[in-house]
Amino acid sequence: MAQFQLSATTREVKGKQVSQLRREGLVPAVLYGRLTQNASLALPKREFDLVLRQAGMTQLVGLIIDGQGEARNILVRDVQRNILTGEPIHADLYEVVMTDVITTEIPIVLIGVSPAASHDAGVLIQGLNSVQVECLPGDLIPEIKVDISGLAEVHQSITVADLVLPAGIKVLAEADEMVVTISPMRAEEAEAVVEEAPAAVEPERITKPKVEEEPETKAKS
Amino acid sequence: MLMPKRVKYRKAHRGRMKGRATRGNSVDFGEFGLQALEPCWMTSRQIEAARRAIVHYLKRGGKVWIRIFPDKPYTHKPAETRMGGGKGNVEYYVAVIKPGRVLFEIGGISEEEAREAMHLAATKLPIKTQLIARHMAGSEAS
Repeated sequence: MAQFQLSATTREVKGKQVSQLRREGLVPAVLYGRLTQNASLALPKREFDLVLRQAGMTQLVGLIIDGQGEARNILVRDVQRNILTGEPIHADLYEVVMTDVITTEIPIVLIGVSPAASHDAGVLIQGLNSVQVECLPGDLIPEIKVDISGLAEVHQSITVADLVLPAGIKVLAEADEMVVTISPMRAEEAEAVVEEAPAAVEPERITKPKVEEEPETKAKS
Repeated sequence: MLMPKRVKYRKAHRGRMKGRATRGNSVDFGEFGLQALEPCWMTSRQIEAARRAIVHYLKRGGKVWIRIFPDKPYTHKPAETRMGGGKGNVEYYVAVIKPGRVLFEIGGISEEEAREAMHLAATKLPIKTQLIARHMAGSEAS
């Protein structure tokens, strides 16, 4: 079923000791699923990087643990990365049940050239890079292609409602959410307006408004 | 220049800049971002200079997002003053930057233009930086 294959080994090392695994070129991972016994795994980093680049997080991957048994259908659900180097630190692998509906995010890819953006009439702004969908694992598609060649005027936009999706995939995002739009060019004088004059002004202090004591409450007590 | 409109307290403690940025460390609005690799106090003047460098290079094209705000008051005692007499006067405002923080984002332009614009901005800043591209959810394929 799965087009991509990934091999993993069972991991005994847990906690802070996993940094040793990372030094050896392995990525600690965890496998889970509705009908799956949770398992701690170690993935070869280079192989995992390659599979992730090709399959992304929206295509099924066949996982073989310790070189035994049949390939399990998994989705890479989450990847923690080093924020400075981008290296993977840990991965979450989700074993799917082919008859269970899953919720996932499919990336949006823009195709074509917008006449408005190419003729410097406006700036192409992509508001949504991925969209949350609900479908069976077998119906998953790698990406949603959006043709932007129809965007010829400023303020023209494509919304979630305009996305063309195959049958079996239900979009969970709001229909009027903007996917891509042409925003007007910035006015040139905008940068000149901000001058150094406000620097001398001291910010206003936030003070607590004084609560006046109510004479009635005192009289009652 | 950027500074708070209203403040609760006029002066602040210096604090520490340990660790890495846990928030604002990914490109969320544009397509490319300038990421800090070192910690620093970035002044509103430095932020404004970098912003101007980007805007000047881009002319009217593209869109720029500033992801940091100088909200920390920096105090300074006048020169040749004896110690004591309380904390100095507020001179300017700074943003506390930790490694990993995305400082600026750009959208609507090509990678080459973004690289050049961010390089010009980086020369105005007191720290090492790097250009990063947007990590879309599930975008590792692209």
